[in-house]
This record gives sequence, structure tokens and C-alpha cells, in this order.
Amino acid sequence: MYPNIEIENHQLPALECRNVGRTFMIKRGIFSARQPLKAVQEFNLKINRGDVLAIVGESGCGKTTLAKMLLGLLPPTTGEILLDGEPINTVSLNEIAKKVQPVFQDPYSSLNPRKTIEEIISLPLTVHNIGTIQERRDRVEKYMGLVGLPKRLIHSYPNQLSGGQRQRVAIARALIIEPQIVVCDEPTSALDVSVQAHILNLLQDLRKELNLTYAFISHDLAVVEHLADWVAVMYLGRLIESGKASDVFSEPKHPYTRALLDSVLTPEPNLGLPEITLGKGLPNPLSPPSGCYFHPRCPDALSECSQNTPEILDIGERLVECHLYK
Amino acid sequence: MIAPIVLEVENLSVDIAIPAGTLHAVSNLTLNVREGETLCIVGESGCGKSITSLAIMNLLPRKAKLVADKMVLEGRDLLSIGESEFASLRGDRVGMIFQDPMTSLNPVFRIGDQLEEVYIQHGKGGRKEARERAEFLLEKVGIVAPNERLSQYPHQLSGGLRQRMMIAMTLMCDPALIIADEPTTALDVTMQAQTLNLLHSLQKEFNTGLILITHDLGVVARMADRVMVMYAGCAVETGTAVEVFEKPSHPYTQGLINCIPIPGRTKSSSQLGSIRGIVPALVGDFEGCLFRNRCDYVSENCYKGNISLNEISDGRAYRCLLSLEESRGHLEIGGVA
Repeated sequence: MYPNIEIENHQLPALECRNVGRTFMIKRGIFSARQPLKAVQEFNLKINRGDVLAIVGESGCGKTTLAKMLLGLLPPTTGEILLDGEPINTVSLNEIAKKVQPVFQDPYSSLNPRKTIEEIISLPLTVHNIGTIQERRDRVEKYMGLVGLPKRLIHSYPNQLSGGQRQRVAIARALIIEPQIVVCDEPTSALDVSVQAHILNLLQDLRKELNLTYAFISHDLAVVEHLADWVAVMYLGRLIESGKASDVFSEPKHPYTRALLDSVLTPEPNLGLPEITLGKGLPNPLSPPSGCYFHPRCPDALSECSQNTPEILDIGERLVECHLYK
Repeated sequence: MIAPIVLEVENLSVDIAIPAGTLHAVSNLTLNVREGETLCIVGESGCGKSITSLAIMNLLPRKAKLVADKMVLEGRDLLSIGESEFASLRGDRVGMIFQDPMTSLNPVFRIGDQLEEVYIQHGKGGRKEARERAEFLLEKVGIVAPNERLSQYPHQLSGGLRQRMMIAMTLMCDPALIIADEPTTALDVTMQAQTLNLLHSLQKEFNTGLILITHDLGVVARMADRVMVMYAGCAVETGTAVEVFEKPSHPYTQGLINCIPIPGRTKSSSQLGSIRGIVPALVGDFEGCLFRNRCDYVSENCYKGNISLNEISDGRAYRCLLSLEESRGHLEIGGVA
């Protein structure tokens, strides 16, 4: 099973992004030339073994592109991703899949409706040719128990399951080949609150039990604060702030992070609605603003913000990309 | 002075005939909304909150059967009027905002035409007045250069802008009531806060009643004057937002509130509260409490008869056999983590 890893002995981060970028060439009309869309750029990040890193940001900020790159499904156009210190592009997809597994947002579309639960959960074992039929069956049952699925569902089909149960199947499928890293792309946003709580509790338990590392992508900051050790905030493909979750949540530095946190509606009826001074929506990523990408929406913008791209500043254990903290 | 009641519904039930029997989507629902007041209907998927809104608008699917003792909008009896009269009410006296603005706006017509159509269709005035009204409202919803926007198509706008257009559209005829069904679920957090702010201030300005349907307890807490918690087609708890969130009386409401992580209050890496089991199937006849299979305080009596609403005070009620002291006592032991 899982080796009990002493973090001190393993200085290598489980996953590391070095200056990772991904550009898509977009064609907008029949006669126009292809334009570059920088979905992710200059992304630097480390995830240590056993940690939960949350990646947050608005839709269209490049979270999912990043997730695909972490899974090895999409090669980065610049920079490199290191998995256990090895560049991900030198490792075969099969090997990546043994170490990194995904859990997706929508458990209704991520499970094949024509396969039984047993077939779905055991698929990674089949693909990697692990074990005999009996061993696979045993392992499926073990993991079904682990994620809290009753054994009687083993021959059921996904349409016979509730949303929460389906997400448990997706989690069992991800864990059955004992990966080190699980990339969760909005794993609870399609679920009801009471079911969401079950799944979040399950993810917490599994993490402790199996010493898992999570890359957790979400737009729900309350969930992120509950689960994450580290937070990375993305805006228009750039990492604008990262640090310990407790620090970022108690003292956000970047104006965008502050606005995001202010927008969270906690169930406290006396507080009323927050005043958000962000103005316009996300700018067009095909023609991003000059200088700091955030300056047209920033309440604290300086004159230089529209001209110079800010550098990443290291304040304590925190990285911030903002002119205000020079 | 208490504002006059805009919508009054008494004992609304909606049954839907399906092959397996009769599905009781909504049972015995009573609600009212006053001018300038926000009523939030909150519940998980499948609890009947959307069916309730469709029932009020007479937009139910054909297989659904509506029974109600009373349904009155601004003194007009909705139960006795026909479809054509309903059609003239919709968009005029009752506006509706749906979850996904892209599917509720027509992609092949300009925004301006769609906004003006509502106005002209209901005989409020000609094209020129309609244009003026549209420009006025677009400014109200915080859109700069309204003239330009009016000649654009829905796909040229971002999600947040589209939802603002929808808000402007529902206000075209100055309705007495707006029903908003998950209006911000498809939006980002920053857009959500801004859109809700807008909806709130416009509703106060135009003195419109608002029924806000959502599953997001954060939205409910910040927006609602009064809250109705629904479970399996029934109202299980009603009250003002402060009452419901600070002193939840029904075990389901308590469970729901414990389920969500609250920044700064829920300890991270601790377990969240949860509600076991799943929502029961609503097909066929049912006796007793619908929540009993998931309730921690279930007793023999929960299996018998009809559980009626326990009135605590005017407008504050919960549907449970536990006395107020008992259920509150449980809450304190269980505790908000």
C-alpha cells in the first residue's frame, strides 16, 4: 500500500511548475490570422507531498488548462512541469496516470453510462494490467468501502446512483491505482450542500489515510479555506498571489484576492451584501490590458500599473504580483 | 405601515403524473410577498422550489396538476383566469429571471429589440418610449453606453452583463413581483455579489416584491427579508433571515447550516456537519415526516399522520414534532462547529 513517507527525507516537491505557459492559437474568422490566446503564463508553483494546494480564480482564468497540464493531457508550450523531480514530458502518459489522477466536476458526464460501477472503478487496473480478475474485484470492493459506497452497488449503472454516490465512484476510480496526487477540478460544485459536505469530509479523511496530495481547483472560497494548506490565486492566466491558506485568507495582499474574499457570501444575515468595487468583468484574454492585467478593475491602481508588468515579489512565505508591495 | 401584499398563495399543491404513480412535487405550500420585500425559497435540488415558481407563473408542464385554495396577485384571482390573461400578466405584472441568461435571451435578436418587445407587447407605448425606457433601465443596471449595448447581440456580452440585461428586461413594465430562479448560480463570485447588490437596490427603488429561489445559503442570508426552507415539496421552516439562521428550529435547517464551511468560523481540517441519507422519492402517498429517514431525532410519532406547521410567532413556523426547546437543545449540543 502507501509507503509512509517522511516529508523531511523527501525534499523534492511532489509536483512543480517552472515557468509554465500554454498558448492556444485561436482563429476568429475565415480570413483573419490565428491569434495567440495565453491561457496560462509564467506559472511557478510547488506542491509538497501531503499538502492541499487550492487554485482559485474566476471562470476563464486558466484553472482548467492548468489542471489538464498537471494531468499530462496537455503539453505546456513553455516551461516544464516536474513530477517527483522528473520533467513530465519525458514520462509516458501511462506512468503519469499512475501518479496523478483526476476527479472532475460533473459526476453525470464523467462516468460512462454503459459500464457498471465495477467496470468503471477497475478500469485503471485493467489499463495498467494490474492483478487477476479476483484481485481486481477485491480491490474494487476495498475502495468502494473506503469511499463509503455500499457493496451492493457493484453491478449497478451510474444512472441508478445519486450525484453524491457518483462522485464517490469517481473518487474510487481515481484512487484505485494508488496515485500520489489527485487533481480535483471543482469536485463539489455540481452537488447539493448536504452532499458537498459528505464529499469534502471524505476527501479530508482519504488524504490523511492515504497521505494524498491534492491540487484542488475551485471557485468556492469557503470550501477552499476549509480544505487547503496553500492557495494560488489566478487572474487571466497569471499567478497573482500564492501562499499559506491561513495567511492569504486572514491577510490578502493583492487587490484582486481581497475583492474575491469580500465577495464570499457567508450565511450571516446581519452583514448585508458586500460592496464590490471591481467594475467591469474579465477582460478579453485575446487582447489583455497593458501592464498589470488587473489594472482596469483595480481600485488601488497606480499610474505605473498600466505601463509596467509587475514582478513577482516574495514577502515572507507569500508571492504577490503587484506594484503596491514594491 | 406594513406594505400591501402583492402575492398570496394558500395551500398550493402540484402533482405530476409519471408512469410510476403520482409525484407530489409541491404539497400544501402557503406563502405571501409584500411590496419591496424579498422572500427567499431555499432548498436542495428536487425540493420543489422551481416548480413553485412555475406554478405561480402558470408555466407548469402539461402533466402537472395544480390545486390551491387561493392564489391572488394584486387582488386578481390567478386560479380563475385563462391562459391569454396569464400571458398578459407575465412580463407585465410578474417578471422572471432565470439561472442562465444565455438560454433566456434569444441569440438572433438584438438586445434592444428584446427589451423593447416586452414594453410594446404589453401596450405600454410605442417604439420610441420603449427605447427611452430601455436606455433608462440600462443606466439603472450600471451599463455604460446603453445605446451601444442595445444594438448588440447576446453573445457579444459577458455572463454578468447578460444577467443585468435580464434584470433590466424584467423591469421594463415595472412589475409588482419579480421571481428570480437561481439568478447568480452561473456567475463568478465577484459578479454574483455585484448582481445581487444591483437586484437588491433596484427592488427597493421600484418597490417590487421579490421571490428569490436559490440553494445558496450565503445568498439567502444576505438577501432575504424572509426565508422559506423547503424539503421534499413542503415548507419545513419559515421566518426572517435572522431568525432562521441564528435560531434554526427544524433539524433539516440545522443540518443544512452545519454543512457549509464558514470562513473564519468553521475550523479548517475539521469535519463538516452532514445530513445522512438522501431525499426520499416523492411518488405515491406518504404519511408522517418526510425528513425522518435522515433525521437524528426521529421517534415513533414521526411515522404517523400529517405533521403540521408549528407556529412560533406570526410568519415564523417549523414543521416538526419536536418542541422548540427540544430542537434548540439539540442544536446547542450538536453545535455550530
